[in-house]
Order: sequence, then structure tokens, then C-alpha cells
Amino acid sequence: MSRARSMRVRRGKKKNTGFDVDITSLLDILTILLVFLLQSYNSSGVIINVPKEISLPVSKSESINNFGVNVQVSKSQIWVNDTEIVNTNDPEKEQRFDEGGRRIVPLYNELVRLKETVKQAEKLSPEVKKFQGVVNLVFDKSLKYNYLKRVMYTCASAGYKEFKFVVMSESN
Amino acid sequence: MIRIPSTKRKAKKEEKLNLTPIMDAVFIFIFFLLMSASFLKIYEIASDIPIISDQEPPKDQKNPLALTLTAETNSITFSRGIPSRSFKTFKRESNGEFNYEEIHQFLVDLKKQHVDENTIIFEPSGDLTYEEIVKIMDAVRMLNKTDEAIYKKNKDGIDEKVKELFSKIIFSNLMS
Repeated sequence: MSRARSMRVRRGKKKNTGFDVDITSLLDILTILLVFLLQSYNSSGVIINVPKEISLPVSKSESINNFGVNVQVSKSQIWVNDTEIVNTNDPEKEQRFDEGGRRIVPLYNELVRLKETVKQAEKLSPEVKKFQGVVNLVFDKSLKYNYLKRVMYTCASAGYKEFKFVVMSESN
Repeated sequence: MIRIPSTKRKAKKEEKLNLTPIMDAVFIFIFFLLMSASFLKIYEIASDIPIISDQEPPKDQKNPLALTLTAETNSITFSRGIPSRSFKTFKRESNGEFNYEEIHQFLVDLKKQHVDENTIIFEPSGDLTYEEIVKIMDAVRMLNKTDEAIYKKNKDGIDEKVKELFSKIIFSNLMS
């Protein structure tokens, strides 16, 4: 009788034995990961891609980036929201100017198209964020103002009134 | 009576999985990835396009500063007033750079006399690089922590610390 009880107790004990995993090293990894992620945390939520052809200038500015259309300009290419619009090395995407060489036609067309898309969405739903006219300008630091002026003029004539020059922090 | 050893007991004996080597490998792998990743901190400098107005200028302001910065290849000139007249010029130094510290200090002194002014009209020359333009804008826009504190009266008559220099930059020669 007592022997049978003892067997039951033993059987019960075996069932309760759980799979014991040592998670100490995992927690070490997560702690280090958390520190790195917190250090690189950006509260604005804006993601701006900087193409490898563009080298940003360093600035003391600490203003957080805003949502807007991203215009990225390198020595030979122009992208709008990461889509290549102008490439001087590609005959199909060559740079064309009008208004006495002040306006870049492909860039103007793309910016107007994006503006119209937002405005149409505004009409369809009142919850859609209204067109702000903000353009994030990602320029290569070696570009001359003569060329930047054309890009800025094109943005202004397409209806984008707020320029945000994207720069790199000194702490990088 | 001799009992046969239980085969059941042997079968149920579970080996504890040793995860330490794999954790070590993952740790080194993550550390390597984090070291090779580039977390760039990017910020912005705001500017508005110039608005052309045919309206009469407001008459309540007695003596508007109307500060203008003209950046040429070899010099930076500050002008003020309407009509604009130049009153300070900085030459490019022998090392090929402008003395941005000196320009900044000059603007801090000017700000002390015009604490309510935030706007500066910027006219860069066509052959200046974007990097130089950003350096000039940095010297013009912000007060550094090492700068002398500037105070102004707020609408309740309480002294308030001025945080920015001439932060509202307008590019005047965009349309030309």
C-alpha cells in the first residue's frame, strides 16, 4: 500500500519537472541591444534615405525632421521619394530645363503629380492629412548654389513653400 | 527476487539543453552587426520661400532692421535698413575659410540691440558650395551654449531668455 503511494508521488514529481533554460546570456544581449536602439532613437518617425552618392554636410542644427516630399540630389542624379527622376548618365532620364534654364522639368512634373495625388486624397477623405507644401531637400555637400537654386525654384514653382535642408549631426 | 532495472526511468531522463555556446555566438554576431551599422543622426534647417507682396509695408515699426547677408566667393557682407546699405564685411581668410566664429559673435552683438528680430535675408553667390552655405546658416541661426545670454521682455513683462539668433532664413535670389 505505502509502496504504491510512493510510486504515485514519484510519477507526479517527474511530470512537474520543467525544461530549464538559462536566459542570462540572452538578457545580456537584449540589454546591449536596447542601449544601442535607444541611442539611435528618432522621435520624429520620419525616415529619410540618403543615397550612397550623396554626402550630407555637417550642421549644429538639432531640429527634428518633418514629414514631406523627399528630394535627393547628387552630382548626376535626382530622386523624389527614392524614385530616380533625373540621371545625366541615362539618355531616358536626362535633365531638361525650361523658364530660361531655371526650372527642371522632370522634377517639376513629379512634384506636381505628388501634390495632385495628395489633394485628390483630401477630397475623398477628410481624415487625410492636408497638403503641407513641405519638401525635405537632401543635397550633396559639394553641389554649387547655382544648381541648388534651380532645384529650389522648381520646388517653389510646384507649390512647395517650406524647404527643410537635411543635414547631418556633428555627433556622427 | 531480483528485479529487472526499469527501462522506463532511463527513457524519461531528459538532458538539459546547453544554450550557452549558441548565445555566445549570437551575442558576437549582434555586436558585429551593431558595430558595422551606421546610425546617422540627421536634422533639418528650415527656410521659407520669399513671398512677393504688393501691399504697403506696416507703419508701426519705426526702424526695421531688414538684415541681409550677401555671401560672395571671397567675402560676406551684411546690409541693413530700407533701402539696404552695407555696414560690415568679412573677408575669406588665408586658409580659404571664412571666420565663422567672428561672424557669429558679430551677429550676437547685433541681436542684443534687436532682440525681437528673427529674420535674415540670405543672398548666396552661385559658386558657393552647399557645405559653405550650411556653415554660414549655422553661424547665423543659432545661439551657442557658450554665448552670452540675451534676454527680452515677453508679453507679460517678464524677462525671457532668447534661444535663437536669426533663425528665419529667407533665400532672396531664388527667382533671379
